[in-house]
Amino acid sequence: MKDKKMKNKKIRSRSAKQVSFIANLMCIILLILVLVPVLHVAALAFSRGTAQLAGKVYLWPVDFQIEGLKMVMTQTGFLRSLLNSIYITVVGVVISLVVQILFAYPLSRPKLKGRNFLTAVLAIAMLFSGGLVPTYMVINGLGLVNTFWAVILPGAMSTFNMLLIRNYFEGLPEGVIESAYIDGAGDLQALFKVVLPMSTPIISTVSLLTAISYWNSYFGPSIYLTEGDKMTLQVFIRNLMADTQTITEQLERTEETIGLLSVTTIQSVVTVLAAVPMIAIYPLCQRFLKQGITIGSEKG
Amino acid sequence: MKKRVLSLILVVAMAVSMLMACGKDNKEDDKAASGTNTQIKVADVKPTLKLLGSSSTADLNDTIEAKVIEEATGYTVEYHGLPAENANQALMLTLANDNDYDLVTMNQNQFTTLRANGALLALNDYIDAIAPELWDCISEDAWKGVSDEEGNVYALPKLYSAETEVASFMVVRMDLCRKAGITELPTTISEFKNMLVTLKNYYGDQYIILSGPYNPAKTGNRMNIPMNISSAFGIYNDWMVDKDGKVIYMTEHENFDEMMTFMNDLYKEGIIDIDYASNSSTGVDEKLASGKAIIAMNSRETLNTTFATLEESGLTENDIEYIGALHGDDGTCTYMQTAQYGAFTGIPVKNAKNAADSIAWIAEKVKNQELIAIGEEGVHFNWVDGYPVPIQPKFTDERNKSSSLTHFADMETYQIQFSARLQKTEIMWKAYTNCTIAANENEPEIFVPAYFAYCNSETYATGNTALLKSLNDYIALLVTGQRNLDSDMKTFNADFENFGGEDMRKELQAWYDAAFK
Repeated sequence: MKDKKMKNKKIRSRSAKQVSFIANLMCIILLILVLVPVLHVAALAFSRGTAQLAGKVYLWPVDFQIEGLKMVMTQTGFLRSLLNSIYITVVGVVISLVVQILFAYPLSRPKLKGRNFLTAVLAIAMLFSGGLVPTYMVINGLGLVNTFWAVILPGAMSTFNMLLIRNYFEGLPEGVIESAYIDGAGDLQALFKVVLPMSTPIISTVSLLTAISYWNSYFGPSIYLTEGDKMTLQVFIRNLMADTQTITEQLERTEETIGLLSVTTIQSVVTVLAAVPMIAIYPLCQRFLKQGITIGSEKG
Repeated sequence: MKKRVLSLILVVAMAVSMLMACGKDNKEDDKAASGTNTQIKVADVKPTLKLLGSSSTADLNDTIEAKVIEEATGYTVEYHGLPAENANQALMLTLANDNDYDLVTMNQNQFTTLRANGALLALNDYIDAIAPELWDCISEDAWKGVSDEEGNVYALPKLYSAETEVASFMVVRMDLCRKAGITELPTTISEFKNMLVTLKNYYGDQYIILSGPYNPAKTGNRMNIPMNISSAFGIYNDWMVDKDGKVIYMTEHENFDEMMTFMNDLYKEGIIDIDYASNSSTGVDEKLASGKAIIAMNSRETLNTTFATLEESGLTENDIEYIGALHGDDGTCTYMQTAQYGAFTGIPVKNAKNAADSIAWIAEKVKNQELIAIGEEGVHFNWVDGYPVPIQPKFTDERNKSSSLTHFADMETYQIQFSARLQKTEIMWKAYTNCTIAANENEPEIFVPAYFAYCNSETYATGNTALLKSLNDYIALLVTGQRNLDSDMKTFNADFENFGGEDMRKELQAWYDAAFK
């Protein structure tokens, strides 16, 4: 009997190892699939244009140069568009959090009358939008075209994120919140001094999701922001991919610059630079992202 | 996908209906704005103009070129840009709603849609009153394409920088040709084939003998068959006119089968790049630059970087030559003029209050065209043999974005001024000299009028891109033998019908009869 148990344990241990090995192998394959194109673009960004054109660049820069980086930083609208995107993302995340938390908290309170109706209204708004033309007319009517508010405000209220926060709030120990009210706290005090300090995982998760959404948004900025100094990074990148002639002519500045850079190297530099902020932030928020979504989904 | 297409259709439909409403509501305003010549005058104090243009990677307002224009014209202009993607939606939404743009720069499709919906102001009276000299800046045909049947002009068109450029050519590695015993460039299609066969016999599979096709973004060939090869077969465009004055499509030309058989034979003999059907222009560039190809279809856009790469492997300018428009064995050579629209600048009906000043601004730019386009002599360029040679890096630093800020030009002088951009390097100028200037000086008769370059009929303007793509796919498959001339022509003819080919033919025939008969 004991031998049988030992045997079963060994089998389980062996099969666990096999599963672990296969899982690790799959992760490594996935990592390679994701990493190789990224490394290739990074290598192109810092390689000499002629090396790129001759097909010599794979995963490591050939004839290393940083002139492409200098050119993008100093002779294009990259920096301006980067700052614009950072501004929209930061302000957008703050406003989104304020709006969504203030919406989610009352809905999470069991005593609120009509909470199901309000939630249903929000769900309808999530499923059916007003459409592009009416939305544009509203934004234009409010005088928001060519202001960052045209991009920030329509994305401030995400029903999905709000429901995540509400579910998380509902999962908090009711006794702790009740005790705050018994001690004389008002709604805002209970929210800011008791509920929010216990909700950092979901706040971080929603912040990251919102930040990614604002950072990657293309359609809104492309429609509402036509002034050159308000161009966002995503619009800049798309314009750069289309405007190869201007880049080519810029590269022909002197005999020395011809061959040093190519259109592909410049496009690669911008692609790498645009990815850096999100790559830098993501690891910091990753554990909250996983935790927050899991906890938020327990109730609802 | 269906949802996206449906939403796009709805958006465009709503925007168009709004534009139509705008057009109708403003008919009276339009008339008032047009007025008579005596009522039209520029404002006492020059207003700040707002222009909505095409996409850019920089804020044009901050450029040296914009400041030069401001000093030269006396007008302050705010430049706004449409995005590279969603440009149509952004433009329609912007113009359909309240906006204060004085000028708007459009592509062909956008212009056709806005004009058809009455969203653009008729400019004749303004040009007559403010700057009648603008009428002489471009040809009568070019004006026709931006006019309605009554002759009302709705935009100032920016034309392609050269009217007769052999923009489609082939780059030849002469160092490799000389080793194979070839010292002379071919001028006829038979000589060309002999050259290719000689190279194949000498090098075998060591090199790609002929790589292509090449479809650059701005210049040169739009076809999957190079126009400097099709020239030898009397074929010069997708739409052509036969000797009886009838509009025909490329596939209906008497020599189309012969041309495709010629190309397919080269492919079967292993002379044409095995990737012909899937090559991108960048891929062709890379094959030439990396030394894999001996001859490659090309255009001037990326020539400098390609040559710089070859130079690093020890090649000199003498090792590179160009093959321009080839002749048939019977002397046939037809190459279509490169005349075409680049962009259209119009005035929205809804905001015509600065229309007179907008025209005055354009006119001032034309008056100062040389300064704006290529700068000051001795500072930005020098005249050499009648052509402007740029002084680098000053020219690029201070005039690189001039073409983005050119909305209308006196084409006779602009063609010469634009050539400064081709003289930045010897290799680029050599290509232009050997192919374009030589053809213009020695055999100007090869240039066929670009009959339909300025055709503004709606079906053609909006539908030909899809038909052309279908033709290009068909040609690539014929070259590589994946389609057969005898059995697959029916399939293409069905596509031709589906894309509105017959409707286009009727429109083009009417255009040709009116403009050229």
